[in-house]
Amino acid sequence: MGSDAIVFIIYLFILLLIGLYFSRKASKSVDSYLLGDRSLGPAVTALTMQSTSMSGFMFLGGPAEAFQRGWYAILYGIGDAGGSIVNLSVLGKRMRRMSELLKALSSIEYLEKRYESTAIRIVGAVISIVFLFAYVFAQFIASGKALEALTGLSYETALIIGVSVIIVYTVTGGYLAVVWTDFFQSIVMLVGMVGILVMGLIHVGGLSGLNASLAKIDPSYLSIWGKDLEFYGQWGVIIGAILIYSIGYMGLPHVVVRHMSMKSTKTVKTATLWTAIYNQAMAFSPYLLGLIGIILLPNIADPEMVVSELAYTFFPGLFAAILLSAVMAAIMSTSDSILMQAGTILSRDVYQRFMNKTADQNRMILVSRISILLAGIIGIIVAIKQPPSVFALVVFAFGTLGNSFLVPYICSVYWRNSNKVGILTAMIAGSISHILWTTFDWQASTGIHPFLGGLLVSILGMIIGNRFGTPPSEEVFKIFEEAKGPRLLPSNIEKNISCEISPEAKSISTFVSKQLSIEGQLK
Amino acid sequence: MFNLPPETFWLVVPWPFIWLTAGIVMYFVNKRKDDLEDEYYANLDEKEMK
Repeated sequence: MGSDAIVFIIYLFILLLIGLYFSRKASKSVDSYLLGDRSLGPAVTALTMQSTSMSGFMFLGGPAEAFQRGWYAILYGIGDAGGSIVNLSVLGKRMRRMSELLKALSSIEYLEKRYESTAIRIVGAVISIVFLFAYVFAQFIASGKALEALTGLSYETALIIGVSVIIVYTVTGGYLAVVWTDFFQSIVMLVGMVGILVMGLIHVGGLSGLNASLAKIDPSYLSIWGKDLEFYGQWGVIIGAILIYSIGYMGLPHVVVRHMSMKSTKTVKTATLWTAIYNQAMAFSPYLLGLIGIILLPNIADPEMVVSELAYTFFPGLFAAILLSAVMAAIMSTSDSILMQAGTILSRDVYQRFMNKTADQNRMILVSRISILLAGIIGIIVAIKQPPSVFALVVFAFGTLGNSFLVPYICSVYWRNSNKVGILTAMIAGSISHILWTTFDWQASTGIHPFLGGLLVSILGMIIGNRFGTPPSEEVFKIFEEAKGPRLLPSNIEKNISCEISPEAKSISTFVSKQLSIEGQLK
Repeated sequence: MFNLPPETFWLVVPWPFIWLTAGIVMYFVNKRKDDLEDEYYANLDEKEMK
């Protein structure tokens, strides 16, 4: 066994230890297993949200896109760099409050309770299970590919080893193990990515040198419209590519659940700052590495392996392996969150809701664990049988989830009178339109990115559908108002009110004191 | 401008600064909200005590 493989085994062993450390705490209650007792601080919230969002795509799919299409690919990085800032700022506080008031433990249960509709839970559970699985399959494929290249093991063996570790620590440690391993892995990702990028830029003469070399090969690599000006003038494609990762995170069930597990609404402010700094260092790096690959590795067989090939070009084997643990970190930190979310939905939203309403805590934890295990095993089988491109699968699953849930989650906290028919229409219209847009390549004929197309259809569905349903109950309205937080009047208005009231208050006080003195004299 | 065409430069390079500024602004916006909330609940507690 090579020294590289030993580095990875040590890395995987550390993750297992973290999982086992949290296993006792996780078994305490369902709340603890599924949501970590809503106890996460700002740094952990920010970095788990970010590492969950940045999947194997960041190290495989993203660089491959840049390798093939040039600077156009950086548009995805622009969105990614601000995704969590937007997510925390828009949903953070309100969703944290409302999920607690509704006593919701999963992001699908949250929608059902907000709109008092079983249909929303069924449709939501079906869409999320199907596309979370597609998303996790992409991660498993990435995991197999990365480990195969790094350790020399066969794709199948590498896949089974990588995924088994993820399953073991997720099943044993639950949500807390997932977020703490994510936190640890986000730091590994940052060190690995920045380390390889710095060396890459030195090799190509900095950003200016990189662009000069790209222009010599093909000037259209530098164009924002794609190589050979593939998307020239198609603003619908450009805007869609930016939007998918800047606002799309708000539609991912396994990401928005991070709002629900925060310690308090005060966690949001520092978490936003953490994520703003972290993202600027991380989000653009994979695409720049893809561009560096065009210069240094023009004949690479599989563009998805650009980052790992570059690492071995710049660094000695053992050090490269340490940096490349970051690839596994990105894959594993997303896979564990998706598996956890799939387990939560299957146990809480399917088993407890429809099969065994009186299930006790121990049974619920057991069902969650079995669900995660089954999801992982099915994932391995599918990933072994059909390995498509990581980029295509991630963008497809991500886009469909985003188009299904983005509008419902935003409306749940900002549109008081939004109702279940509107939400159901938005979810179904959003997901179907994204699937059709991608399958029939409507981007080519309309010049609109599938995500942007799906988003517009979902918004339209929400507005039209909402005209037909009945508003939620008074109790939900009360919770909605409470979730906004205390309504504070600005100090200048408060001052004016005092000024206006003060003459009246003075008259009342004079009147009362006069009355009292009269009463005193009479006595 | 890093040997980039002006179109690409102006569409890409400002973004890290925009996001960083957005993050810092949101930090202070949320801090103000948290402070006001604390003040509100403190006043509420005082009224209840009275």
